[in-house]
Amino acid sequence: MTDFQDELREALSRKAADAPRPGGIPDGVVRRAKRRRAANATLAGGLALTLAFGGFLGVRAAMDAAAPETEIIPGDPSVGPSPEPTTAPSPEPTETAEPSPDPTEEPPVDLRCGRYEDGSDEVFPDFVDVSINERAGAGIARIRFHFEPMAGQTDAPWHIIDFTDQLVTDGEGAPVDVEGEAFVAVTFMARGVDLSGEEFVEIYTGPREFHLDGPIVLEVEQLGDFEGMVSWGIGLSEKTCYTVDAGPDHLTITFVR
Amino acid sequence: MMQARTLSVTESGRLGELYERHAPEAVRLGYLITGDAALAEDLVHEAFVKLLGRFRDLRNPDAFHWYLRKTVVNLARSHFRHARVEREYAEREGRRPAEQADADPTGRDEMWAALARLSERQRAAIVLRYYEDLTEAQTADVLGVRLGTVKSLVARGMARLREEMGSDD
Repeated sequence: MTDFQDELREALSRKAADAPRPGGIPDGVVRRAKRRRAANATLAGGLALTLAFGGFLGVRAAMDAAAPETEIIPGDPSVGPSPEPTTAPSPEPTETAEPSPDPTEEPPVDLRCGRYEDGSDEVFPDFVDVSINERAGAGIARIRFHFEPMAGQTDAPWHIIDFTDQLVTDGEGAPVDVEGEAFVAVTFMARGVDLSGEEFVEIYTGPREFHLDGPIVLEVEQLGDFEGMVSWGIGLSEKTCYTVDAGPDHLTITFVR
Repeated sequence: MMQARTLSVTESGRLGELYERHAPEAVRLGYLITGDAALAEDLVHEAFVKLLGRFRDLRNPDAFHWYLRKTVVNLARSHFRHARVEREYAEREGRRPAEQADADPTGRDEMWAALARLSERQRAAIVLRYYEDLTEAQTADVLGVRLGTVKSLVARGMARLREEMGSDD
């Protein structure tokens, strides 16, 4: 360790000693935590009802909604953050991906400002690419997930798009920090990894995260590829309504401001 | 149908314990990143609201601390983004932007003053590496960026600090 690093550590420790020392937990924090928790429990309860009657799609929705309610269990390595992340580094991200959807195309008119769900759960394409494009002047940002469709299929795979306060990894439910003030979780049925052979073969080999300049989309990051469900998170500079165009070979989300 | 569940008295007591145990350290982290004591406390309060409102049960204090650290850093980044937008708006409207809090008005700590002049991302990365003693991989996890980004943020930040401090190390 160099003298300069020592000097830096000392300066930081000295300054940290000037930080205020909080007393007991403020009442306002407890009240707001209670309200937030009650709201989460109500949401989970509503979706549990869906689970009882909704079949596969309901199960999936309830799992997604319940994810933030992760219980941290001591010694359980499958849940909670790891002090030393062991995941393989993501491939080098690029600012934009190819081919880019044309953001000047007229967007569909059905603007969605909440949860949206559609598609067939019998369609299971390969997920092969992501492309992102934004035209600031037009107030449009478009994210397209590209699929290699199953033979003879004409429907879009099942997909669900929703705003969320906190993006989480699929499976573990660990929080994911994505840049933005509003967040959208996108989940669709597809294969990002081929598990049929003796070895795992990645079908989607592109970047796992895209850092963008906005003004609408700031970051797009993969949240998981778990049991045939591919999840991505989108960070927006502010909540922005969207349109959806889906087919057997694509799922396109267009944010319109 | 599942009933909405609120916090019991016992749980509220547990929140208090968690707060007393983890808030001071989180405030110090927020203070080093923002240079603003009041803001650091606000960020930590907000982080507790977010975390306590989300978890059904918190049995692992170490894991809570990890989440808390990530949330404080993330909230600080959001604060800086908001502040930047407000400044740009004020400038466009021809108004005088609000004065930024002086990190060290006395000027008695040159190193701290130089740190305060770094970008918020560089400062956060350096605070996590050299105050919290996190590895580069852990720092990347907390900041939500790739390992290479952390290396770059720390290297550039340290280079600028050395330059400002006139160090040859």
